[in-house]
Amino acid sequence: MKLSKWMTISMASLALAGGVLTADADSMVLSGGEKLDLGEKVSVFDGERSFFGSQLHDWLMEDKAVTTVEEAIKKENLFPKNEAYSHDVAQMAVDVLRRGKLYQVRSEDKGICYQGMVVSIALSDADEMKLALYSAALDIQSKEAVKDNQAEAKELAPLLAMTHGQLTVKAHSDWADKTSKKGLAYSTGSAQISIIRDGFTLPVYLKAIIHKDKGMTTYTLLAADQASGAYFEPVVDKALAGAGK
Amino acid sequence: MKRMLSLCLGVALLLTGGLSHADGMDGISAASPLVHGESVSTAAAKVMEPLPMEELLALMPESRGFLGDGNLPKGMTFTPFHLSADPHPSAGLLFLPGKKQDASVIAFGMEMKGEAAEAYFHDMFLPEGFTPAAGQRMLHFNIGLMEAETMLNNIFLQTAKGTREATGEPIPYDLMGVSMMHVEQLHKVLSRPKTYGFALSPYLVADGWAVPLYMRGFLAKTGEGYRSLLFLGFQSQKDALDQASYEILRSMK
Repeated sequence: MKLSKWMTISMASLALAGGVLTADADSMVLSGGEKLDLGEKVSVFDGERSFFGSQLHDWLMEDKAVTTVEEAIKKENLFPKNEAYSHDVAQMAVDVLRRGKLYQVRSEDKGICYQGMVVSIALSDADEMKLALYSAALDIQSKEAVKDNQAEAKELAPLLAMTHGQLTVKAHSDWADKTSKKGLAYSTGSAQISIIRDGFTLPVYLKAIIHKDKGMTTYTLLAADQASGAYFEPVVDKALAGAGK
Repeated sequence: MKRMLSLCLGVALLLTGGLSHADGMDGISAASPLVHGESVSTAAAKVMEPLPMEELLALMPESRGFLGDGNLPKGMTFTPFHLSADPHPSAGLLFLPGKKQDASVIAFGMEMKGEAAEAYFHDMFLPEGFTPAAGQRMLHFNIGLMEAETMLNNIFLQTAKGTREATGEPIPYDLMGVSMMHVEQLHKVLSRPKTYGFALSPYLVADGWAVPLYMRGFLAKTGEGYRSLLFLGFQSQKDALDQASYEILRSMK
């Protein structure tokens, strides 16, 4: 096929993928199966539809995914005292990622395009208990390693420094427990924060949604620039009010 | 530093590389009408001259960034990218506090002065308008803006094609693409004398993920030379970016 034809196809795909030229009703299914109808003005791009996203998804579905993650954990020596944890953590991580969802929400209004990223994961009660156990083990072992080895402490310093970035909160909502018209109970809250690192200030909008049902908890986070966040907040609230499974 | 230099030169190149007769400009007509059947590209190719890189490079010794000088309007903060130890950095992140929302945008500001700068920009800022040569450069710039979408998509397509050939990976041809939602051609800023401005709204799509961007740029004559300003943010930050850019313009003397 000639390059010009590829160009035409590419541009058509771009227009469709970008949603610039089309406005269609779109819904978003969260990791636990909760469905949010975002209305006609918002389009949803599913990360699995991207080239790299689909490849990642295919890889996650393979049996060797757990082995690969397990090997990576062992290589990092995250659980030197409990090697069995490596397999359990790998299995859990792959399971969570298989169920996980990554979306981009987009909308065009008055010639301006808004976009935000949505990540949604579902954890079973058993997963959460294991996670707490592994986190505690990881924490104890890290502290011991730092105490035992000053050289290693120096290497860890930049990593630890990464977690000490300054955060400021410009505004936040109250954490609210609600129930949708279809009977879906959820908790939600939002905040406008600024992440300050190395003098750079990055203002972001975050909205968290938590839904617990039958031993499974779905954690969903919408992240966007603050202007896009302000645009999407009422849309998502309306969608949550009508959410169901 | 090389990247900063390239960025600076890129803006200078854009602002000096061609010819135009945009709406709202006073000046001497420079562009001849298109011959029947002649495309804009063909016409542009006729009037484009090789870009005098030596002259542009000659501007550099007397050029300096100015956004970090501490003269920004109240509330704004400029944090230079840590790419060099330049005491007058030209590029960085500009924090714009707002009543309801804050924003951070990428900002570039460079002051150019000296003989080379005068030689280059003086004819764009004459009391009677601009010379035909300056008009040609501006038209060239505007044609560049209009053709940016096609040019960039060609680059993306060729890159995808090259990557497929080099790696054997079947990456999609439309892995990257851009659509210019809005192009505001280079024109005189009515509210501010001796200033040209332009704006672009590129809608970038990378592997299906959308990145709606907004860019606004200025070239202004000041008491000490010529200042080039460029701001880049998300489209959703357009209002904040526009307001801040004009405030910075007003704060310059």
